[in-house]
Amino acid sequence: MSFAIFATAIISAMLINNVILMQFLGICPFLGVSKKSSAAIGMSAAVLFVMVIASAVTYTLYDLVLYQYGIPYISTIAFILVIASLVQFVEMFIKKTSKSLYKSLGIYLPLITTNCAILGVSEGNITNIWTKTIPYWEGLLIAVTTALGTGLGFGLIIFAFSSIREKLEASNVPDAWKGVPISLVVAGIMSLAFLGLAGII
Amino acid sequence: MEFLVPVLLIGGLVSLYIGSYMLNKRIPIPEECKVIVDEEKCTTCHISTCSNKK
Repeated sequence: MSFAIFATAIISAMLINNVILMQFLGICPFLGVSKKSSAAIGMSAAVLFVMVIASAVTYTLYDLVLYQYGIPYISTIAFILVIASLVQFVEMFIKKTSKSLYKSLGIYLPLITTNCAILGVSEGNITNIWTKTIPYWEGLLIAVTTALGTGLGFGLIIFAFSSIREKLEASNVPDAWKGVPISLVVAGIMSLAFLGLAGII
Repeated sequence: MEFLVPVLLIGGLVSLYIGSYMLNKRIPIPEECKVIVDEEKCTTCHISTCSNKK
Protein backbone atom coordinates (compact mmCIF):
# COMPACT_ATOMS: atom_id res chain seq x y z
CA MET A 1 0.00 0.00 0.00
CA SER A 2 1.32 3.39 -0.92
CA PHE A 3 0.61 6.87 0.34
CA ALA A 4 -0.97 7.64 -3.04
CA ILE A 5 -3.86 5.26 -2.30
CA PHE A 6 -4.73 7.10 0.90
CA ALA A 7 -4.25 10.55 -0.65
CA THR A 8 -6.51 9.54 -3.55
CA ALA A 9 -9.13 8.14 -1.16
CA ILE A 10 -9.18 11.35 0.91
CA ILE A 11 -9.29 13.77 -2.03
CA SER A 12 -11.85 11.69 -3.88
CA ALA A 13 -14.15 11.38 -0.85
CA MET A 14 -13.69 15.01 0.16
CA LEU A 15 -14.03 16.87 -3.13
CA ILE A 16 -14.99 14.69 -6.07
CA ASN A 17 -17.60 12.40 -4.52
CA ASN A 18 -18.62 14.91 -1.89
CA VAL A 19 -21.18 13.36 0.42
CA ILE A 20 -23.54 16.34 0.39
CA LEU A 21 -23.21 17.88 -3.06
CA MET A 22 -22.62 14.74 -5.15
CA GLN A 23 -24.24 11.91 -3.20
CA PHE A 24 -27.01 14.03 -1.61
CA LEU A 25 -26.58 12.39 1.80
CA GLY A 26 -26.72 14.32 5.08
CA ILE A 27 -28.97 17.02 3.65
CA CYS A 28 -30.86 17.34 6.97
CA PRO A 29 -27.95 18.77 9.01
CA PHE A 30 -26.76 20.61 5.89
CA LEU A 31 -29.94 22.69 5.92
CA GLY A 32 -30.90 22.44 9.59
CA VAL A 33 -27.63 23.18 11.39
CA SER A 34 -26.05 25.67 9.02
CA LYS A 35 -27.55 28.96 10.17
CA LYS A 36 -24.48 29.79 12.26
CA SER A 37 -20.85 28.96 11.53
CA SER A 38 -20.23 27.91 15.13
CA ALA A 39 -23.02 25.35 14.97
CA ALA A 40 -21.76 24.12 11.59
CA ILE A 41 -18.26 23.59 12.97
CA GLY A 42 -19.60 21.66 15.97
CA MET A 43 -21.82 19.52 13.81
CA SER A 44 -19.10 18.72 11.29
CA ALA A 45 -16.63 17.82 14.05
CA ALA A 46 -19.18 15.46 15.60
CA VAL A 47 -19.97 13.90 12.19
CA LEU A 48 -16.27 13.43 11.43
CA PHE A 49 -15.70 11.82 14.82
CA VAL A 50 -18.63 9.40 14.60
CA MET A 51 -18.13 8.67 10.89
CA VAL A 52 -14.55 7.48 11.37
CA ILE A 53 -15.40 5.28 14.38
CA ALA A 54 -18.58 3.92 12.75
CA SER A 55 -16.68 3.04 9.55
CA ALA A 56 -14.08 1.08 11.48
CA VAL A 57 -16.70 -0.76 13.56
CA THR A 58 -19.06 -1.56 10.68
CA TYR A 59 -16.25 -2.71 8.37
CA THR A 60 -14.97 -5.00 11.12
CA LEU A 61 -18.47 -6.31 11.83
CA TYR A 62 -19.03 -7.07 8.14
CA ASP A 63 -15.66 -8.69 7.55
CA LEU A 64 -15.40 -10.73 10.74
CA VAL A 65 -19.05 -11.57 11.50
CA LEU A 66 -21.58 -10.98 8.74
CA TYR A 67 -19.49 -12.38 5.89
CA GLN A 68 -18.04 -15.23 7.94
CA TYR A 69 -21.51 -16.44 9.00
CA GLY A 70 -23.02 -15.94 5.53
CA ILE A 71 -25.48 -13.25 6.60
CA PRO A 72 -24.41 -10.10 4.72
CA TYR A 73 -28.08 -9.44 3.83
CA ILE A 74 -28.69 -8.02 7.33
CA SER A 75 -25.85 -5.52 6.99
CA THR A 76 -28.10 -2.44 6.71
CA ILE A 77 -30.14 -3.12 9.85
CA ALA A 78 -27.02 -4.24 11.73
CA PHE A 79 -25.19 -1.05 10.73
CA ILE A 80 -28.12 1.14 11.81
CA LEU A 81 -28.14 -0.48 15.24
CA VAL A 82 -24.36 -0.32 15.57
CA ILE A 83 -24.30 3.39 14.64
CA ALA A 84 -27.18 4.22 17.02
CA SER A 85 -25.50 2.36 19.89
CA LEU A 86 -22.14 3.89 19.07
CA VAL A 87 -23.58 7.40 19.21
CA GLN A 88 -25.09 6.67 22.64
CA PHE A 89 -21.78 5.35 23.96
CA VAL A 90 -19.80 8.26 22.53
CA GLU A 91 -22.26 10.78 24.02
CA MET A 92 -22.15 9.03 27.39
CA PHE A 93 -18.36 8.94 27.35
CA ILE A 94 -18.08 12.63 26.45
CA LYS A 95 -20.67 13.63 29.09
CA LYS A 96 -18.68 11.81 31.75
CA THR A 97 -15.16 12.78 30.78
CA SER A 98 -15.10 16.22 29.19
CA LYS A 99 -17.63 18.99 29.69
CA SER A 100 -15.82 21.28 27.27
CA LEU A 101 -15.91 18.62 24.54
CA TYR A 102 -19.58 17.99 25.29
CA LYS A 103 -20.21 21.72 24.88
CA SER A 104 -18.72 21.70 21.39
CA LEU A 105 -19.68 18.21 20.14
CA GLY A 106 -22.15 16.56 22.48
CA ILE A 107 -25.26 18.51 21.63
CA TYR A 108 -25.01 17.45 17.98
CA LEU A 109 -24.53 13.76 18.69
CA PRO A 110 -28.25 12.84 18.98
CA LEU A 111 -28.79 14.45 15.55
CA ILE A 112 -26.14 12.18 14.07
CA THR A 113 -28.07 9.02 14.93
CA THR A 114 -30.45 9.88 12.11
CA ASN A 115 -27.76 11.16 9.73
CA CYS A 116 -27.87 9.03 6.60
CA ALA A 117 -24.35 10.15 5.62
CA ILE A 118 -22.89 7.93 8.36
CA LEU A 119 -24.86 4.89 7.15
CA GLY A 120 -24.11 5.80 3.53
CA VAL A 121 -20.36 5.83 4.16
CA SER A 122 -20.52 2.52 6.06
CA GLU A 123 -22.49 0.88 3.25
CA GLY A 124 -20.24 2.49 0.64
CA ASN A 125 -17.17 1.01 2.33
CA ILE A 126 -18.63 -2.46 1.90
CA THR A 127 -19.81 -1.88 -1.67
CA ASN A 128 -16.70 -0.11 -2.96
CA ILE A 129 -13.79 -1.30 -0.83
CA TRP A 130 -14.54 -4.68 0.70
CA THR A 131 -13.77 -7.76 -1.41
CA LYS A 132 -13.23 -11.40 -0.53
CA THR A 133 -9.55 -11.13 -1.31
CA ILE A 134 -8.52 -7.82 0.27
CA PRO A 135 -6.66 -8.31 3.58
CA TYR A 136 -8.66 -7.12 6.62
CA TRP A 137 -6.20 -4.46 7.79
CA GLU A 138 -5.73 -3.04 4.32
CA GLY A 139 -9.47 -2.74 3.75
CA LEU A 140 -9.98 -1.28 7.21
CA LEU A 141 -7.34 1.40 6.65
CA ILE A 142 -8.82 2.41 3.29
CA ALA A 143 -12.34 2.45 4.80
CA VAL A 144 -11.24 4.68 7.69
CA THR A 145 -9.32 6.96 5.30
CA THR A 146 -12.39 7.26 3.08
CA ALA A 147 -14.52 8.07 6.14
CA LEU A 148 -11.98 10.72 7.17
CA GLY A 149 -12.11 12.31 3.71
CA THR A 150 -15.91 12.15 3.65
CA GLY A 151 -16.15 13.76 7.09
CA LEU A 152 -13.74 16.52 6.05
CA GLY A 153 -15.75 17.06 2.87
CA PHE A 154 -18.94 17.28 4.91
CA GLY A 155 -17.30 19.85 7.21
CA LEU A 156 -15.93 21.89 4.32
CA ILE A 157 -19.32 22.16 2.62
CA ILE A 158 -21.43 22.78 5.71
CA PHE A 159 -18.99 25.48 6.92
CA ALA A 160 -18.91 27.20 3.50
CA PHE A 161 -22.70 27.00 3.30
CA SER A 162 -23.18 28.41 6.81
CA SER A 163 -20.84 31.30 6.01
CA ILE A 164 -22.89 32.08 2.89
CA ARG A 165 -26.14 31.88 4.89
CA GLU A 166 -24.76 34.30 7.47
CA LYS A 167 -24.00 36.75 4.65
CA LEU A 168 -27.47 36.19 3.19
CA GLU A 169 -29.08 37.13 6.51
CA ALA A 170 -27.75 40.65 6.07
CA SER A 171 -28.48 40.79 2.33
CA ASN A 172 -31.47 42.28 0.59
CA VAL A 173 -33.28 39.08 -0.41
CA PRO A 174 -36.89 39.24 -1.71
CA ASP A 175 -39.39 38.12 0.94
CA ALA A 176 -40.50 35.05 -0.99
CA TRP A 177 -36.90 33.85 -1.28
CA LYS A 178 -35.86 34.39 2.34
CA GLY A 179 -34.79 31.38 4.39
CA VAL A 180 -34.86 27.91 2.88
CA PRO A 181 -35.62 28.89 -0.80
CA ILE A 182 -32.50 31.02 -1.25
CA SER A 183 -30.50 28.42 0.70
CA LEU A 184 -31.56 25.71 -1.73
CA VAL A 185 -30.57 27.91 -4.68
CA VAL A 186 -27.15 28.45 -3.09
CA ALA A 187 -26.82 24.69 -2.49
CA GLY A 188 -27.64 24.03 -6.14
CA ILE A 189 -25.00 26.49 -7.33
CA MET A 190 -22.45 24.94 -4.97
CA SER A 191 -23.30 21.51 -6.33
CA LEU A 192 -22.80 22.74 -9.90
CA ALA A 193 -19.44 24.24 -8.91
CA PHE A 194 -18.29 20.91 -7.43
CA LEU A 195 -19.29 19.12 -10.64
CA GLY A 196 -16.31 20.88 -12.18
CA LEU A 197 -13.99 18.77 -10.03
CA ALA A 198 -15.30 15.50 -11.47
CA GLY A 199 -12.65 13.62 -13.39
CA ILE A 200 -9.53 15.22 -11.90
CA ILE A 201 -8.46 11.83 -10.47
CA MET B 1 -30.40 -23.82 13.05
CA GLU B 2 -28.64 -21.42 10.71
CA PHE B 3 -31.56 -19.02 10.83
CA LEU B 4 -30.81 -18.41 14.51
CA VAL B 5 -27.55 -16.60 13.78
CA PRO B 6 -29.11 -13.44 12.23
CA VAL B 7 -31.93 -13.49 14.79
CA LEU B 8 -29.47 -13.65 17.68
CA LEU B 9 -27.24 -11.01 16.13
CA ILE B 10 -30.08 -8.55 15.55
CA GLY B 11 -31.48 -9.32 19.01
CA GLY B 12 -28.07 -8.69 20.54
CA LEU B 13 -27.65 -5.41 18.69
CA VAL B 14 -31.15 -4.24 19.69
CA SER B 15 -30.37 -5.09 23.32
CA LEU B 16 -27.08 -3.25 23.01
CA TYR B 17 -28.88 -0.17 21.71
CA ILE B 18 -31.55 -0.26 24.43
CA GLY B 19 -28.90 -0.73 27.10
CA SER B 20 -26.73 2.10 25.79
CA TYR B 21 -29.76 4.40 25.42
CA MET B 22 -30.88 3.76 29.01
CA LEU B 23 -27.38 4.21 30.38
CA ASN B 24 -26.99 7.46 28.43
CA LYS B 25 -30.33 8.78 29.71
CA ARG B 26 -29.28 8.13 33.30
CA ILE B 27 -26.25 10.38 32.95
CA PRO B 28 -27.36 14.00 33.38
CA ILE B 29 -26.35 16.75 30.95
CA PRO B 30 -23.73 19.03 32.56
CA GLU B 31 -25.39 22.18 33.97
CA GLU B 32 -23.36 24.62 31.91
CA CYS B 33 -24.34 22.84 28.67
CA LYS B 34 -28.12 22.92 29.19
CA VAL B 35 -28.55 26.41 27.72
CA ILE B 36 -26.64 25.45 24.56
CA VAL B 37 -28.68 22.26 24.16
CA ASP B 38 -31.86 24.34 24.10
CA GLU B 39 -30.44 26.92 21.68
CA GLU B 40 -29.00 24.60 19.03
CA LYS B 41 -32.09 22.73 17.91
CA CYS B 42 -32.50 21.56 14.34
CA THR B 43 -34.76 23.93 12.43
CA THR B 44 -35.14 22.17 9.09
CA CYS B 45 -38.76 21.14 9.36
CA HIS B 46 -41.83 21.65 11.53
CA ILE B 47 -42.51 18.04 12.44
CA SER B 48 -43.50 18.25 16.09
CA THR B 49 -42.90 14.56 16.79
CA CYS B 50 -39.22 14.63 15.77
CA SER B 51 -37.02 13.59 18.69
CA ASN B 52 -34.53 16.31 17.81
CA LYS B 53 -37.08 18.99 18.74
CA LYS B 54 -37.80 17.64 22.22
